[in-house]
Amino acid sequence: MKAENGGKPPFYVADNYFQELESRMLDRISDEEGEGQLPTAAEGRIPTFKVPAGYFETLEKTISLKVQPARNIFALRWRHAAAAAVTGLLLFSGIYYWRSFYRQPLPGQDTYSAGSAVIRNISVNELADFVEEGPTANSITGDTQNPVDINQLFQQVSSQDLENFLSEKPAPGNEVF
Amino acid sequence: MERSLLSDDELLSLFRDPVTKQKAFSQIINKYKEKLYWHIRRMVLIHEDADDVLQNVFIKMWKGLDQFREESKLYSWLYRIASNESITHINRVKKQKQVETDEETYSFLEEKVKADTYFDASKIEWKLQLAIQTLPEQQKIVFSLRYFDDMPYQDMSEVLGVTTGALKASYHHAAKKIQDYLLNELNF
Repeated sequence: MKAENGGKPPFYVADNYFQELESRMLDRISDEEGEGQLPTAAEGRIPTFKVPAGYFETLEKTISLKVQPARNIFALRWRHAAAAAVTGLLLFSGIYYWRSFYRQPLPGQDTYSAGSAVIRNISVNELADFVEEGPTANSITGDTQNPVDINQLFQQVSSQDLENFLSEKPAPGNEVF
Repeated sequence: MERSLLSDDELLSLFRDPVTKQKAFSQIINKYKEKLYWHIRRMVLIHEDADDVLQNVFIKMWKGLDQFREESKLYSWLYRIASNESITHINRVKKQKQVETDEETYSFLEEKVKADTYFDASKIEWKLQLAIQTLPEQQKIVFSLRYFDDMPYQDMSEVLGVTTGALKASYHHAAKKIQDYLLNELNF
């Protein structure tokens, strides 16, 4: 009899019964016994520990600051460098333009026109007297310590040059003032 | 608000876009900060330690989330980092304090619990905290995730890299130890 069925009991079990047995037992243990005698939710699961007031409200900002510095510093440095470069370029261009603008004569303005504008108010006779009187006219400069020698100053000025000057037609390449 | 409506997948997509990365990071912090804090706090016990560990967790997330391959859920990945960081922290402190044996470890942790400003030995929740300190670190995490966070075993399996069967057994042992502690040593 025993030999006929190979020693196996004449019972059958469900498929995968033994494979799933451990899992099913553990489920029952953990769900029924394990938690059953622990403090209930009301007793045990309430927060035991406390946190400082406002801790969670400021946490996100605190952590964000910690991950940002390296990126921010780099970004700020880059921006500062770019701003400084642009500012420097604008300043340099401004100075260059300003200097160029005031060094060049305005359109239609001759280089000697400033001097001639002063002289234009002096009559021909006064100018001739001034040249003839020479050093005595130094007082108009107001520089008593270093008087200007008018004779020497006009020594190389020809009459033609003077006439040209008075008629505002200087000889080419021979500008007096 | 907007942050509570976004799923983890949406937050991950936002995080991977450089334009919205910072915003997504802030939202992930706000979504998980309290859950992770309490998980860590139950492990390390002291607020200052929990704060340090929690900040490390989020900084690691910031650095590593671009490489996150989504083989697990975002929240289980964060819990895994938090659990590992907590254990690392505890081991570092124990090493500093030259705590080696199980008895020394329990005494060390018991002192930490009792040092809390609000500690009250007559209250059941504090008795439970003392009982939890008798557990090995790994079992403590299993118990904490299951008992306090109600985390499904499948998710716990992702967090800890252990089969659900082993987790169920571990939880059972942990619960039994706590039960014995409460019954025998504290006359609960």
